[in-house]
Amino acid sequence: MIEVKGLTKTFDGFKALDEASITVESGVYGLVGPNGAGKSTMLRHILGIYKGDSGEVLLDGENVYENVNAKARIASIPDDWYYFNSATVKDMMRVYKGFYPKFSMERYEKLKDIFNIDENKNIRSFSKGMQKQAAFWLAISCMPDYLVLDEPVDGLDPVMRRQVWSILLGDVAERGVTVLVSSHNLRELEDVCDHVGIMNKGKVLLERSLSELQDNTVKLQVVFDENMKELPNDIPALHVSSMGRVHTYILRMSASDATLLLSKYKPLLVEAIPLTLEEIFIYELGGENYAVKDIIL
Amino acid sequence: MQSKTSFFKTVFIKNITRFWPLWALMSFIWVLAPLTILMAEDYMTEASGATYLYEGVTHVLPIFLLIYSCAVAMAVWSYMYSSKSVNLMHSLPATREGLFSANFTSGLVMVIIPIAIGGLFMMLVEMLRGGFSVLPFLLTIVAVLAESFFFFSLATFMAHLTGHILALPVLYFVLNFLSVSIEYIISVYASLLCYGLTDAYESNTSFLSPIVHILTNVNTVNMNEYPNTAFSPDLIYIRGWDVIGEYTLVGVVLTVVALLLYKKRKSESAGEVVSAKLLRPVALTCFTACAALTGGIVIYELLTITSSKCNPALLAFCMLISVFIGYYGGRMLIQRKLKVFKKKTVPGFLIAAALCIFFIAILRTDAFGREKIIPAKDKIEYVSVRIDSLEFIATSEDTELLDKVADLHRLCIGEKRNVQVSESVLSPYNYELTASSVKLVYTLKSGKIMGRQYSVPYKFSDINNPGTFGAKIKDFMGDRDVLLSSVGYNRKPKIVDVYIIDYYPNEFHEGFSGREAIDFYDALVEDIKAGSYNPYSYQLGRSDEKILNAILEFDGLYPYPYSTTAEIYITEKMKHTVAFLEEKGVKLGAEND
Repeated sequence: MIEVKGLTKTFDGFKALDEASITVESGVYGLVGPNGAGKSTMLRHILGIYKGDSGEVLLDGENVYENVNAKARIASIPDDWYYFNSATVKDMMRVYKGFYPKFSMERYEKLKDIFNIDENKNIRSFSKGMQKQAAFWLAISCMPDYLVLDEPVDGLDPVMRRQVWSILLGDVAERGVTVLVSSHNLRELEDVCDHVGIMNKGKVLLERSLSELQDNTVKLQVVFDENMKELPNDIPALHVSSMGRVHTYILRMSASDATLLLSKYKPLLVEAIPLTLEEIFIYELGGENYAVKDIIL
Repeated sequence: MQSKTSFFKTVFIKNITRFWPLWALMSFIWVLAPLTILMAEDYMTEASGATYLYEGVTHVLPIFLLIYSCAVAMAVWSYMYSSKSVNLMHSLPATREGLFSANFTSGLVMVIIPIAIGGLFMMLVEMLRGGFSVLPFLLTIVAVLAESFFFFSLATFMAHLTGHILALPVLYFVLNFLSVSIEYIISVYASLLCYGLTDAYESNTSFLSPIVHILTNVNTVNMNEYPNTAFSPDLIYIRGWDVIGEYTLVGVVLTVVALLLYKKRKSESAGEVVSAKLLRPVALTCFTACAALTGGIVIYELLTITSSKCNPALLAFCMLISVFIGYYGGRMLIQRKLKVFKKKTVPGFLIAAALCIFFIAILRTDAFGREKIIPAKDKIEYVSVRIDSLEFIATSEDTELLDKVADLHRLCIGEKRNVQVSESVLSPYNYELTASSVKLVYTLKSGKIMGRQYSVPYKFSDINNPGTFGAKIKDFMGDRDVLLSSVGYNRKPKIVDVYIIDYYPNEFHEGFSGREAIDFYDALVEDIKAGSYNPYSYQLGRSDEKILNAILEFDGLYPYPYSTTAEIYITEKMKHTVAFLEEKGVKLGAEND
């Protein structure tokens, strides 16, 4: 289990993380948030690259920073993967193999066919997508207990995306690997995540299981009686929009509670519609002054 | 769990194989030096070949080691300077200590490989030429290894101070010359602002400029130091082991400090000019001070290129410009942004500017009384004196002469007011005035050097007014002890050659050596003792008295171990000298008509 408790990190006066806390127990955990929310900073702390100003980062109860045993259990794929100048995949494999005690050559050989990359070719000559594949290949071959991924499938074609997720989910199911993934591709995360944490301005706004999150946020389409001149103002909506007499409410509560709440205004129609992760993300952050603005040019 | 040696081996092999062009190129250069001796077999003796090799090791190799160690440090620590690479390396399961030891060791091995290859070639070449001796050879290798270790440790230390790969070589090379450069620049300021002070100095802090200190203090004992001894390879060896030992220890300390810095280093400091936040004010202070001192003098010299008169106000203004550039330029570099002109930075700039004014003021007002210092006689090893074209040396044994030099020095110091007043009237068009240039360089028994230089103007008519500077300087230049000293008489000279020359029309007349040279010298001494030699009259342009010039060449005249020369004017009044020349058939006078 990865536990981040009250982590604060300041860069030249800018608070990149502000008392941020998350708990990643098992399965796939999606860390989402707008640009500059502090996701990558959070991941770098979990990988033991950064040391927080305060707070702690624990892996199964042990501090990660400067802890070889803990770090040996975590592999990562950063957004901008680094490889040595003029290195081939084989060269980088030797580096990973030298550092990771559980590096599996058997797995490395097996994955060779899947990724279909020439291991003797200079990585610099690869496309961005191929470099990402190489990073996956090596990270997965390290046989980690925890995988930390920052924008992992960015640059991969749809087939390879599916392939990569299939391998990752296979590892989650068979080896009990825990995956912490940060991505802006919420549609994709929705398919694979068990838990989600939403970050903004260095803080973790919320973290829940995806189903809990979807159960606790509801979109209601409501039609009131035509004699109702004004919309009721005591409904704690995250967002309200109207089209003719059809009003759309986003409420942070279950569908039944929301229906019950609105029933006192005797609506002609109330219909609960499930929210996508992207909608939850947008509406949650809308409450944090990070909403899509209506811009007239 | 994987053993510690696994990643160590990985990093080690990765570095050695990845940066092979570096050590291969250096090995090639190492091999070239001994090969050149082998190729020059025909005209190099065993002694000169061995000396060439060892002197190359002490005088040239440290410069290569300085540069190469920096290049290796840049290579092995390069991952710390980019966020991408540092993130990878610091996310891998290894401690900072582990990474440090693996990278440091691989770097050190890369430094040692060329030494091993070059050393092997050196041994082979010496064996082929018959000049090989085990002990001096092994000592040489140990010395080179120690120097390499030191330079690599220093480069490693600098690598951990900065977060920018280009800042590493800049800081490293600046540090290697910083203390001597600053000392020199301060002496230039002193020579401009203080009466009589020169930029001649003996560095007291050269140990803080390692390459300078090593090149100065580590050298070779060569065959010149064994007169009349047959060559033996055992006789040529490296000396300066105290310096080598000290720097080796400093290297150990720097390595430990570098490790501590690395353990505290923040990965996010990649790209910063100064990696540790706490050191940034120190770096800014150093940067501002260096810029103020260096920039101030450079701008001032450019602005006053046609003037010899010192202008303290202009110098202070030039320093202030440099402080501004240094202070805000330093901030831009350290903070990595151009917008540094903020209210809160003004006090820092004002403090730096005030310190510059204070620096100029204490030098100009001679707050430490340096202008009035005349070294005590018992502290002087020797003093070199030059008055216009008359030069002589007074040693600690010439007590009377030292007293006369002290009087001369006192006389010049006493002229400070007159010099400052005369600066405005002394011009090429003022034919009533002349000036005497007096330069005194004291070498003290403590090893320190103190230089003074005065250019004192006076009227031609003063020469005949007793008590005036002009009359006193004329008397001094006609002093028998002074003139004898100017031809080395007080230092038991070994006269080697005499050349008689007429500079107009630039004709070489005759040369004497051996017994003849000694006879010439004895005749000259007789003339000086008789008071018939006075170079002062020629100084004033009375060239009608001069017939010829003579250049006397001495062998190893104290305090100089090498051959030195003295030049004299021969006039008709010098009866003994003229008689000697006539006896030898040198035509006098006719050529000058």
